[in-house]
Amino acid sequence: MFEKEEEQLTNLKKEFDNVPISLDSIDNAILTGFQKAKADERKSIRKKKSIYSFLAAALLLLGLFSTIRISPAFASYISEIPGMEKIVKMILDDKGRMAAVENKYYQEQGIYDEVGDLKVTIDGTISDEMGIVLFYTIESKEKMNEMMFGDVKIRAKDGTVLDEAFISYGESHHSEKGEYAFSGEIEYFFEVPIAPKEYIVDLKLKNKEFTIPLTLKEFKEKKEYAVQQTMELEGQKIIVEKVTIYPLRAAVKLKMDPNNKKQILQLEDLRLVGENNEVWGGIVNGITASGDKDSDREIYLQSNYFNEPKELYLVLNKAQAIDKENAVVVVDTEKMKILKQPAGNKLSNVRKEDGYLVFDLNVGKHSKYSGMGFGTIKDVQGKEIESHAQSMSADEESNMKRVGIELPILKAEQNPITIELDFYPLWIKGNEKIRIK
Amino acid sequence: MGTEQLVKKAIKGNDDAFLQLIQTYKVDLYKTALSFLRSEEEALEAIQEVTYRAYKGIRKIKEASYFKTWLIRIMINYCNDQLKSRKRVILNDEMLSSLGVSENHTEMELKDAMLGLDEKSREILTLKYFHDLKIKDIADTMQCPEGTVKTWLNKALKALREKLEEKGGNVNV
Repeated sequence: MFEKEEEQLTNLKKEFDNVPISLDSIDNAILTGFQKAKADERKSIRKKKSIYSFLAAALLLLGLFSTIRISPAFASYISEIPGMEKIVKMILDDKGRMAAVENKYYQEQGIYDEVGDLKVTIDGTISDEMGIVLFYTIESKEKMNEMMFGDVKIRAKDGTVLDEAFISYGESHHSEKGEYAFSGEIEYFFEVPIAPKEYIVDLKLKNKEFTIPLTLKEFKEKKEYAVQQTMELEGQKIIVEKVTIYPLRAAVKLKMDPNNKKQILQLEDLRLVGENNEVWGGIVNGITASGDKDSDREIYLQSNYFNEPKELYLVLNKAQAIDKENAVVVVDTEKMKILKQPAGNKLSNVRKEDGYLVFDLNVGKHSKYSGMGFGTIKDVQGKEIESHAQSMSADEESNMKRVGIELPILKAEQNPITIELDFYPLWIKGNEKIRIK
Repeated sequence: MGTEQLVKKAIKGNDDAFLQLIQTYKVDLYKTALSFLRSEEEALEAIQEVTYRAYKGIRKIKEASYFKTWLIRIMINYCNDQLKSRKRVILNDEMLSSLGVSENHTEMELKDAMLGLDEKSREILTLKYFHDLKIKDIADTMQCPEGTVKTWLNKALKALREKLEEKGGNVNV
């Protein structure tokens, strides 16, 4: 039908086949474009760091150890691998990671670097496309009283830029009588999937630098479930978009309904439940959530990757929530007075302690409450005040918790300051259960 | 290593894989740019911009096997935008000689006719005849049924014929 036109078009193509090409100029153009994209990427990484994240601190409960049942086969596996016992102790509070070890998904590394009389060993790793958990041991010929990494960085050996999202390595090892070795874990999560290949870990400890190479073996593939269902607690809607099960954790992608009257804070009650009522709850020690408080959010749960139930549900009975209209704390740091706070007046006794602005938080009967997280701080002009640290006391018995946020020295005219809250011990309740599988 | 595997690596953030892929298709990209923009300088600028856009967008690729179509389409879109920003396409001898080709009337007419087409027609003709892509590949990258692509292709050829007839040898250069 269009033979003539088709022929003409084909001839046109042939004509371009004979066009002289300067490959050098093309390569230069490619390089320039590539470098521009890399520069943008680095900029966006810096920006992403301002996204909030929640960290949960481990509460070492004595009873915990007795509640975990270990099969005889698992017990013998643990005993076969040297040093495995201490690793299992670190992940006892995470069913998903326990199952990963039980299913031999733990990868032994055993590579160390020695600087002076300090030796750092990466004993092993559990990793998937979105994250790496490193288990390490610090050893010294002298007794150590306290030890904490100053910095931890992971980079790809081939130079690929990694979009790191969240890193947690903050455990401070402490011993009055002194120890020759400390063990702990480092969590490293990425924004963009990584590949199983060679990586290099750079660690700073006591101003000494350690470099340890790692090779990550093939990752198990994630399992994705599209959900698109709504959960509702006291009229507040949470849209569950997707659940992705990775070996290290399950990620629940949520969207808050913009019409909600309340701002939903922590969702520590969210859990996965199998058909036999087996429960995979939130991350007890590590990164529990990320994203934007008012719109898209990801909640991380313990992973059921290695124990796949026939049916899987997402269950939620309560969520921390405060009225949107009254969702911030306003403090006059000159007069040391709380001018405004969410309903319930749960914060009191504001004071300054060692560069921190500290409050008492009344958690009522929720003595195990361990929420922590102040959001952005702004001065009276709306200018953001930078803060790099927060603290919370974990006195198990008391209904008064001490919560603090690092604050630089402020000028009087910057007052009062407004602090966003990522937690508050007020809950909305309901009975929501969504089938995922 | 196969292209698909390279694409998968590139999606995961491997820069070497990404650059290797761009290398594989750089000549295709360059010729496409040249056919639209008709200037070496602008074609090189297009390569730079397309490398940039491809790097930023690579994570959105769903199907590794259509990488080439995806990449060429970025180029076509870029060129279309460039053409839109020009008020008129002006051809002169200098440009033609810079292409290193002496054109006969038919070819020139054809190029003018192509530039006179709507964007979609231009895109589909370029993909099909310039890059010898299969209807199925084009359909998959555009996420539409093959039948639709065939319809577009027919429309494009028809429009092209009309443009050529319109000119009827009366070339205004």
